[in-house]
Amino acid sequence: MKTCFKYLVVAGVFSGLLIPLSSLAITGDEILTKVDETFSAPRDQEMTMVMTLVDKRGNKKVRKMKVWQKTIPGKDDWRLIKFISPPDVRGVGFLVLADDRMYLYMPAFKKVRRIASHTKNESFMGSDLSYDDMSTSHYEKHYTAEIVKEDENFYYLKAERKKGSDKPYPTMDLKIDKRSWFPVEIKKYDEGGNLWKVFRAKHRKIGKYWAMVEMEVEDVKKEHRTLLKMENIEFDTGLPDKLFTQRNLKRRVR
Amino acid sequence: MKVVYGDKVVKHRKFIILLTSLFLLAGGYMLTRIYMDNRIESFLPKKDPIAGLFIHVSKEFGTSKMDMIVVESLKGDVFQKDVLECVREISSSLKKIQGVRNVISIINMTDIKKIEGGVEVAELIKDIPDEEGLRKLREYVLSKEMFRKSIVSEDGKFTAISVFLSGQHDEIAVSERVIKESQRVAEKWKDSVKLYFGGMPVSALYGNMFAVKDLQTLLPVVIIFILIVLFVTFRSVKVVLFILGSMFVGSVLMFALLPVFNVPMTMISPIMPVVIIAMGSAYGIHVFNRISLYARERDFQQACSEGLDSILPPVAMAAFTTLAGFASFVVARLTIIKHFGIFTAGGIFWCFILSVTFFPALLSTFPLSRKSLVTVGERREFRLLLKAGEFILQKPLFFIFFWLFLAVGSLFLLPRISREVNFTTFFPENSAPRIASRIMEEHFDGAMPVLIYYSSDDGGTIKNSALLKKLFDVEIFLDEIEDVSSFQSVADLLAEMNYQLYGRFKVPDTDEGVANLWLMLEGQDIMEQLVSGDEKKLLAMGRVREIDTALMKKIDVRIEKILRNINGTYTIIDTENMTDEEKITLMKKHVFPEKAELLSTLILKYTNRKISEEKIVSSLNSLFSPPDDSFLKAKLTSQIEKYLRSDESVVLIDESKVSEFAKKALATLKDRKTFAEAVKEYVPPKDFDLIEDLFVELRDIERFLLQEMTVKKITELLRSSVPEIDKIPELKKKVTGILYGLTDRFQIVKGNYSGEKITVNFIQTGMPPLVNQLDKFMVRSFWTSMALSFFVVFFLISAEFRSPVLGVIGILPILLTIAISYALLPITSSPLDYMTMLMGSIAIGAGIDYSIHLLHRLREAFRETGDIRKSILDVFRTAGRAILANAISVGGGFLVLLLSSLKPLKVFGMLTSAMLLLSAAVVLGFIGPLLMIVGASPFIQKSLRKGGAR
Repeated sequence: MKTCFKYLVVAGVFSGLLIPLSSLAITGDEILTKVDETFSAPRDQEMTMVMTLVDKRGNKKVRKMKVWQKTIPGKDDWRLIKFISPPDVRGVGFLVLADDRMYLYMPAFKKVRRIASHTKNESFMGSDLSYDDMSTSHYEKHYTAEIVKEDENFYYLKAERKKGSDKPYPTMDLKIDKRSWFPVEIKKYDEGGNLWKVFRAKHRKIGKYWAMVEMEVEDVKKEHRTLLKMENIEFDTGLPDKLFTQRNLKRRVR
Repeated sequence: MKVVYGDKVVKHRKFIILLTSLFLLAGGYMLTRIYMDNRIESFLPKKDPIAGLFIHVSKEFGTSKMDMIVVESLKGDVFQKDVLECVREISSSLKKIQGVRNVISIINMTDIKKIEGGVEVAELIKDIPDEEGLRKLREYVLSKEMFRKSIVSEDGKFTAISVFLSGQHDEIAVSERVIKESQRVAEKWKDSVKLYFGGMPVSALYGNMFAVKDLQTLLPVVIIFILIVLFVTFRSVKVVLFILGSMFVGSVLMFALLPVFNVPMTMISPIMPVVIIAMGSAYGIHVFNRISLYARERDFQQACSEGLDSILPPVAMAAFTTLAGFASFVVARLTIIKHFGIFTAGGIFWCFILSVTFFPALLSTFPLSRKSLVTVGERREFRLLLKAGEFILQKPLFFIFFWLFLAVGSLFLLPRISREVNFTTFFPENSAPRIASRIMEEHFDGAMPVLIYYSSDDGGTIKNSALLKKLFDVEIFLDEIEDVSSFQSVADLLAEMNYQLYGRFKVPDTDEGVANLWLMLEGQDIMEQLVSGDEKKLLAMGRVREIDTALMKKIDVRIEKILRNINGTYTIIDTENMTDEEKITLMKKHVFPEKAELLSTLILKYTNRKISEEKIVSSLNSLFSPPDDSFLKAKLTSQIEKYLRSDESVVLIDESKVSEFAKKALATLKDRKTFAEAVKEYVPPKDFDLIEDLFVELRDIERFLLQEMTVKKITELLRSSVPEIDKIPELKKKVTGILYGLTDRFQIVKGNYSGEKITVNFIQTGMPPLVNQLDKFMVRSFWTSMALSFFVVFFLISAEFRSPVLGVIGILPILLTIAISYALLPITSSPLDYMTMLMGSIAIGAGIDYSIHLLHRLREAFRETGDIRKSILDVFRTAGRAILANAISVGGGFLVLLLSSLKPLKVFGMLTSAMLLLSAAVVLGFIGPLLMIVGASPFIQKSLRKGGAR
């Protein structure tokens, strides 16, 4: 009986030590850094994106676009988006070089125009993603996070906006996959603490990188959903800088 | 005397009391389930196409579900830090309320402005600026037409917050929370701001609040009034309590039926208990009077039985004629009136039933002492009436002509009766909703929606350039209507986007252009209010400044006329491959007259000057004079060079060869192949496939330049007639937009010609057609119900007296009373509305009682005396007194409505009281002299001798 008690004491001491050790292992902020690193790991990527918009009455709109993205260390990523379908918007292009440097090309008017949108909440092309949601994550720069829960596969974080940050969501709940450091679910809240948007993502490893292959964004307030499906994803193809120019923005999608 | 009915009541008195108590309990329970609905659209039948369309559009686009909060700055204008902070705080607080879909204020209003090389889309105020910034903000906001009077008043003292409600929640309850929350937030800035609330849900909410308040005020007062009248008459607490108790039960049972039939209470519901108690108590009085009379010579129980039997037929007759007056509203097409009529008739029915069951059951259960038995006829005041009767009978013709003259004279006043169906005008002048409404009228574009709806019949999309161009034209005509705000539609937004991006305030010429710009607008909150989710329906939204019915009707008619001119089949004519001659014919015949009308409308709106369309057409003809070729070439060369040097050029050309390239390109720009051959040497081989794109781009530059030059030329010509064009930026923007439309490749021509067709069918909905329909239904309801009740009461009197002649004599005074009474409306500057239209039925209901009473008594007297003069004097002495007493007491009951918070209820109370007195006076003062003249006729005497004895 005594021996049994000793084992219990030793086990208790060890487990007592293990709990703080495990929590010391990684912090919420470090997880955010890991997430940012996962997103910005590839030097560049290109893909075909199928965007389906579903309104509260079940009306659907499907859009297909080609996306090229280049990671610029320490800065906002460069992104070129060209619509492939439906036919009446084929060729419409977006070139994003920074938050305040966006260019739009509409083939019906044949002119490039600069768009400066300071409304980060503004919907991107009718989807439930705002320009802010579309931009590079940089979670760690704008949020501080705490681990709320942890299980075998996931970290559950509560993130709070840092002082001075201009991000539109003051708080977020994130569910991070331990294996890939990919957020599989993000709940974003408004200033009043009400649930605003829910992001659910599926990801898989393509080559040496983890990539998001499907995402569903639900705007709880508007009762509107956006489904994104990423196809033909390619990484590190060496996209040249000149791809991200106004001239190329006007060129037809091949 | 054979007692049948009365005996049964006395025998089963305890059962009757118990049954009534159970009914009262059940009724009391049902009262808890009563609900209110004062939404204007609910006043029309659900199947009415105009109401149906409005409800459908409201559900689809949420247009009628908008609250408007006006914030007044108490410290100068609204461009103050604390005022803007308050607005921001209110906006963000309201967004958190469940049922609020969106909040748009000066803070988060989307502002699209030009920046170097493009546009900037931003919230109007991202951060509240410092003092200098606030001054600039004021200048900027007030300079823009899209903000002025829609979000900020012209003097800058008021700013509006639009709160869009979701269709999933009870809009009235959400509006109540919106008001409370805004007031809570504004408390912090109470020295700086004052809030006002408007919009359709808020009006309905105020309607509910006033109805409840009125019910709480009026019900106790009318009860006290009747209590006093009864006590003065009978001097018995028991009798007073029994009669009033019966009326109370009757009112409860009447209200209890509302939730049973899923009918809401409305603003006119507070009249119902007043009518029921005031009119219904007469039945109890009659019953008690007769029982008292019989009880002098009989045992009280026997008096109850026999008295009840003898009084039952006349009381039933009186109740059913009154009931017929109200029930005649069953034919009314206005739900609010129909329900009022049916349920008031139901209340009268309950009061009658209770007066001949519950009331005598109570009397026989709790008998009265002999000394407390007082009959109404015992008093002595009849002498005056007898003298009056003698006086009238001395000059019967004079009195007949006097009343006829009054009635005929009144007929001339009837066309001057104004009408009012918009209940917002019913609220007191100094009440919160009226003050808010006045501010919205004076400083903003109002809060009542006027909408243009389009639904694609063939299931096609609305992203159609031709359709949107026509919508844009409609809006130009609509904007010219006084008291209607500028309209907003997806066509405007596309035009604005086109203007900001490409400098042309017009709908793009192609469907592709529309689709391209549309992509930029998607996801904007405003789009939900303008376009349906399936993109098959659209809406243009405007607001009406004033709320009165006459103006709404005028606006409705005007809009219908505009839509009739626009709606129809159009042909989309492609001018690309037309010869110059064909183009000239097309433009002169179809396009110029149409554009001239638009330009003339715009110029009139902005300058108040009418420029003839012919003059404008002659200016437009200069479109065909060819531009100066050398000037064009020089300009085009420079533009091509500029393009080739820019980042936009699809092909990168060596800087040193740009000028050379431009010259060659210009020389070959007419033909694709020649162009390709000519420029190939300047293009890197890897970009050869881009030569086609380059050709299209350069052709576009040429087309763009030609358009610019044409528009410039016509603007120059217009400037001579409209020198203000440069001083009014909005006018210039719109005029040049129309002129650019002349250079479109696709021209939209009304009629069936060769080319693609489109059918345009814009439908008006919103407040003006709703109000017009309510007005039409109110007038129709008034006449049909009146005709029906006249027919019914004529039938009842004729049957009762077995003489159609006496039927005619009986209803004649009512006709005169109604004519004279309604003439009081224009005299007192009161309109015909939901309340005053009810006076007719009350006049019929009460007036017919007086006629029956008089004729009944006359017949009795004539049978006794055989002398018409003596009989008439006897009527004055006996029935005349009762009629007058009833008119005074019931009329007094209606005077209680003077305590109502709603003006129409006050007018209704006052005029109904006057009308009841008038009715009594006409019945006595017209039937008496008339019978004096025609009574000698054997035919009349035979009629008076006919019929069953009472």
